[in-house]
Amino acid sequence: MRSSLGLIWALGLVFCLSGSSFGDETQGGQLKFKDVAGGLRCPTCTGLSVLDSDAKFSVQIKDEVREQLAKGKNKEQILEFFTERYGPWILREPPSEGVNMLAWVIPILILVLGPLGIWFFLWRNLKTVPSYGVRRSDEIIREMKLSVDKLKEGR
Amino acid sequence: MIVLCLGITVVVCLIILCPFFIGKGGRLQAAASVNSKDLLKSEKEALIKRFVEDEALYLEKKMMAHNWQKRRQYLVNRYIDAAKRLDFLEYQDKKGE
Repeated sequence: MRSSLGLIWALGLVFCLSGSSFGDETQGGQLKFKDVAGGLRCPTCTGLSVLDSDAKFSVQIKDEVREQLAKGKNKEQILEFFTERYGPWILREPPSEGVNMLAWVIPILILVLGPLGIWFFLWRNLKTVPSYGVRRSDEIIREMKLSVDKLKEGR
Repeated sequence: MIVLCLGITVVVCLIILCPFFIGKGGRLQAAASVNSKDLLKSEKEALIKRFVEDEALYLEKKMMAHNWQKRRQYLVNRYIDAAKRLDFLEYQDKKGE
C-alpha cells in the first residue's frame, strides 16, 4: 500500500514537472511567434499586422514564420528574411537607422520644439495693454483694507 | 381686458427701467459715469464707513454670516469701481498738465 502510494506520488510529480516545462516551452514559442508576426505588416490589409489578420497572404506569412522559428532562427533573422523578400515596407516599425531614423527623430523634435516654438511666437507677438493709470484690483483691495483698519483704530 | 394688460405691461416696464433714469447721480449711478474726483473720493470714504458699520453689525450677530459675505463683496466691488475710475481721472489730469 505504502509503495503504491509512493509510486503514485512520484508519477504525479514527474507529470507535473514535465507538464510545466512543456507548457513553458509552448508558451515561450507562442510569445516568440506573436512577437515576430506582430512586427510584420499585412500586405493586403490596412493598418493590421500579420498576427491580427486572417487574410490568405497573412496566413502564408504566419506559416513561414512558424517554419522559420522551428528551424531555430531568431526574430532579427526572420525579419531580415522578410525584409529581403518584400522590402522594409513589410516591417511595422521602421528600423532606427539611416533615413528611417528621421521617422523616430522628427516626432520627438516636434514634441520638444513645438511647444517652445508656440511659446516663442506668442512671446514675440505679446502686446502690452495700456493701463491708463488704473491699478490692479488686488492693490485697491489692499488700500481698502488699510483704510478700514485706519477707521477702526480711529474709533 | 387688452387695455388693462397693456397698461400693466407699461407700468411694469417703467418700474424696471426707472432706476436707470431717476437714479442718475444717486445711489445707482455707476462709478464709470462719474466725472468728479471729489464725488468718487467721498464715495470711497462712504463705502469704507459702511463696511466698518456692517462688519460691526455682523460681529454683534445682528447680521447673518451669509448676508455679511454678500454685503462685503458688494462693498468691495463698488470700492474697486470707484477707485479705478478715480485712478483713470487722475491719470487723465496728469496727462493734460
